[in-house]
Amino acid sequence: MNIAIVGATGNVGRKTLEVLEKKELPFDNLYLVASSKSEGQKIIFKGKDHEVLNLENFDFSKVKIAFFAAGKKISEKFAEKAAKHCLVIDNSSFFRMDPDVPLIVPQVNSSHLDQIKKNIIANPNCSTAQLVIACKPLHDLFVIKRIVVSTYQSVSGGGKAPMDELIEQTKLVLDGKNVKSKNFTKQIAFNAIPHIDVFADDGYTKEELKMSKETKKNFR
Amino acid sequence: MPISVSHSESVNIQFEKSFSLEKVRSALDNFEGCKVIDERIDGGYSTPLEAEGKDETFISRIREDKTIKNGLNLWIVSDNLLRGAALNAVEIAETLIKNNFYGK
Ligand SMILES: NC(=O)c1ccc[n+]([C@@H]2O[C@H](COP(=O)([O-])OP(=O)(O)OC[C@H]3O[C@@H](n4cnc5c(N)ncnc54)[C@H](OP(=O)(O)O)[C@@H]3O)[C@@H](O)[C@H]2O)c1
Repeated sequence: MNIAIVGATGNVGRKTLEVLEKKELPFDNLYLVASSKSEGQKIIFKGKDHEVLNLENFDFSKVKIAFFAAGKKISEKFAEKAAKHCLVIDNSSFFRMDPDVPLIVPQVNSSHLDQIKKNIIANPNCSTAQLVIACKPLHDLFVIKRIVVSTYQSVSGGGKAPMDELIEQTKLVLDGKNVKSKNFTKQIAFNAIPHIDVFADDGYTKEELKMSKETKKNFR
Repeated sequence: MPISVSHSESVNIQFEKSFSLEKVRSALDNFEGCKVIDERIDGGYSTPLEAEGKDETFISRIREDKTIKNGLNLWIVSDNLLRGAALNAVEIAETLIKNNFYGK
């Protein structure tokens, strides 16, 4: 069995490599896939060099499982094509609310895995995943009626670029220099921003709506 | 937040049924993937920095919300790149393999 990671050079992709190094997942070959920008770059996995391949011409029939961690637009464009040949486990939000795609935290609802229709399985939003895993044992015992949650999210949730920018901004502030935000709506260093993702008409943001909808789907 | 890794959540839950803090604690601590760190002393809780790189989701500040019926407050911290992404995805793959891909 072979595996591919799409977005292998990003935050989630690199973490997936780390997790695979530790776990005893039985697979033969690992294909690392990213954009043309990273093509040919070498990444070490289990002591061996792996060359990064270009998604545009990657042949998914070579693998049994493909992890997608390259964002919503890439999942929208490539996941269904890939799913004709292999099982896709998608980190993006694109398929999460699709009724034909199970949204899984294994400890919570692995029973939904027998309803795979499109050969695609979705990973919940990061805030949803940690909420439902902690709520599940309590829901089983006492039945949850209502949850009110405030999240305090780290910058890595937005990818590698915002993570690097937090460090850059912090240095600028400490040096007494002016900060101009690139990946944030306001200065993030020494600050807090009450907003993630785009605003909906009712004043909520998509991130907030995702958490509420995904939690319900997960507990169904 | 100006934090590199791990998301924190302040959570208020209302249950249908009555609960005891003891049962809440043991249910959380015995659930795969969860760990209770809740000592009710200075530093007796988890923070994002400490959760970074860990597989577990940490639950702290477990206390009753006495302003509503069957109310509970929690502080939940987890590495967003692990439970929130990479670890969860790999665990899904493990579950699929263990179950022979459910015949797919
Ligand atoms: N709930 C969750 O499970 C969770 C948690 C965190 C993040 N995420 C999601 O995971 C995804 C990745 O997030 P991240 O934080 O890892 O982002 P990131 O650090 O910005 O990485 C993005 C990755 O996508 C690749 N990519 C970008 N454009 C591409 C293209 N045109 N073709 C092929 N590959 C392309 C990049 O490759 P290059 O280096 O070649 O540009 C890079 O490997 C996002 O959808 C994000 O929302 C999910």
